[in-house]
Amino acid sequence: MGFIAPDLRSSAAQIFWEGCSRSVLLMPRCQGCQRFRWYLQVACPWCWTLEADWVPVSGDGVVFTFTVVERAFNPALADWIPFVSALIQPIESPDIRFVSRIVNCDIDDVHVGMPVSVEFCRVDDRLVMPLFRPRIAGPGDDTG
Amino acid sequence: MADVDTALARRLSGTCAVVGVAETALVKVTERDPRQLAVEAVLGALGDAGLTPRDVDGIVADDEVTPRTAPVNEVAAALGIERSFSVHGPPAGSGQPMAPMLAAMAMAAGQGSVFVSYLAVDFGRHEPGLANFSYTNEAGDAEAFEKPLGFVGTPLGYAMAATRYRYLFGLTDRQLGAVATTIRRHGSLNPAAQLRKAVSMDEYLSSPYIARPLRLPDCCLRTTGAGAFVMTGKERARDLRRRPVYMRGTGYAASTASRRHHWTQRPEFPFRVTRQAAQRAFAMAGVAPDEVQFAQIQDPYSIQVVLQLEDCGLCAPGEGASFVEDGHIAIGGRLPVNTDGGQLSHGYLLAMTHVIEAVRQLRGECGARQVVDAELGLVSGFGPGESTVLLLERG
Repeated sequence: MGFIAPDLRSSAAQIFWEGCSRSVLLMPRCQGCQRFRWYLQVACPWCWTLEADWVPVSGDGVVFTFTVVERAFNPALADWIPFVSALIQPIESPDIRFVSRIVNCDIDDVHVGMPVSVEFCRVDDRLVMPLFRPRIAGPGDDTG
Repeated sequence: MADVDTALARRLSGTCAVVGVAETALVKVTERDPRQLAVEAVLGALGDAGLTPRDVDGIVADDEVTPRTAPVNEVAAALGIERSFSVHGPPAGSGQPMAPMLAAMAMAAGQGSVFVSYLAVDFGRHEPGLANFSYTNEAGDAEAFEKPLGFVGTPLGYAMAATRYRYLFGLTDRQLGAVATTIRRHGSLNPAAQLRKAVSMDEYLSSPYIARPLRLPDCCLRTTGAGAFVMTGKERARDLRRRPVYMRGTGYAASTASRRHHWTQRPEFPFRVTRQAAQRAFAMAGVAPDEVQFAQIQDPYSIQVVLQLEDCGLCAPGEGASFVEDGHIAIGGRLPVNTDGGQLSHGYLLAMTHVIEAVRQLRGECGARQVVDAELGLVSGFGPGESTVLLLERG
């Protein structure tokens, strides 16, 4: 299966993808107000603290919105078509939308509000992708 | 953040007129340098007004596309324009509708009397849409966290906006199709349109999906070309060649999502900062949304017309899709929208063609697509996370 390798020039990208390689989903959390910041901007927009720590999150979330992609806008994704591209609200911080794919699920069953959970998928020797699959709903899923 | 001071804003209303407009041929690809296309458009707009580059005091341009395609200093140098004022306004399609207010502010400050705004694009040489331009992703978040996970191609974000809208308010395929078929029918009436073919609802419903629910006819064209318009003060406008079209009101708003991640992380989703921009524009103009007779709404994808109709107050929240399906946005309807064919048919020149078409409608020059007795029109344009609404009035 084709894929687009992440650009690892930023330290944020290196930390995030290194976590994925160990099947750990890391997100940056503000040292000041403890809110998650995604993406990691130069300061926290709520408390203006500069520093953030990368901490593991559960990988559980809810589908905020999605689309079934029927045309590949990059040749590397041609054998993904059709696939579900989605914005996922992590249960730890519903104001963030994590970009990923929904897998292990009939395309027609994907819906807004669907509980999902991360599933790490190795695509080659160096790269593990954090994709998402359906999960049974639990507490924290009423993020709308 | 305080909101705008309506009393002060009202003083600017009507002080700036658009007195000349022009665009080059809009085509998918040309070998011509976009800077030369910009020069051609500026000369055309000045000629339309009966002016020359020697009359120009300042240039107003967007701060995202123009610096990459046809930088102001190069275009001004090529035209021999000595400037007493120069400003880059908000990005992409939020830039062109902002230009009349920026020119009005410059005139109020005594910094000149003739201003030009232009835009040149060469989207035909690139993949569709801005988000695939390398320069919009300089910070690398998209390359690091979005593209590897499949978020590639501008239609995806708009398709996700449509999915979210469908979840919140309901949205049928026929309702989206009503946007695309109506605007493309308008384009078939425009001799300058890049695409003059109308699309029937049956053809729409059998066309391929790009990113559900968006089908091929929901998506804009890829265009290379340029457009420009000329602005001056109320007094001087009366002496020029064309009937003036006055800036009655302008409003701008930006969300807290930066350009780096405006699609996926902005707090309002779908895109809704147009609502604040419109409120500010109507406040400056001192008119109500139901007085608007036509609208030119930036339409890279059909769903964006539905959202902006609502956000501009031209129909009730959540009713944009049925408003379109009921035929109100067709020429001859209650509120004709994108009478030139918009970005779906006329060409993808951000909001430049929307401003130009509004001016031509208010001059009564639009022939088969003319809105009868058009006196007040609205232009809605947006860039990444930023939005501008402009109200133009016949002089």
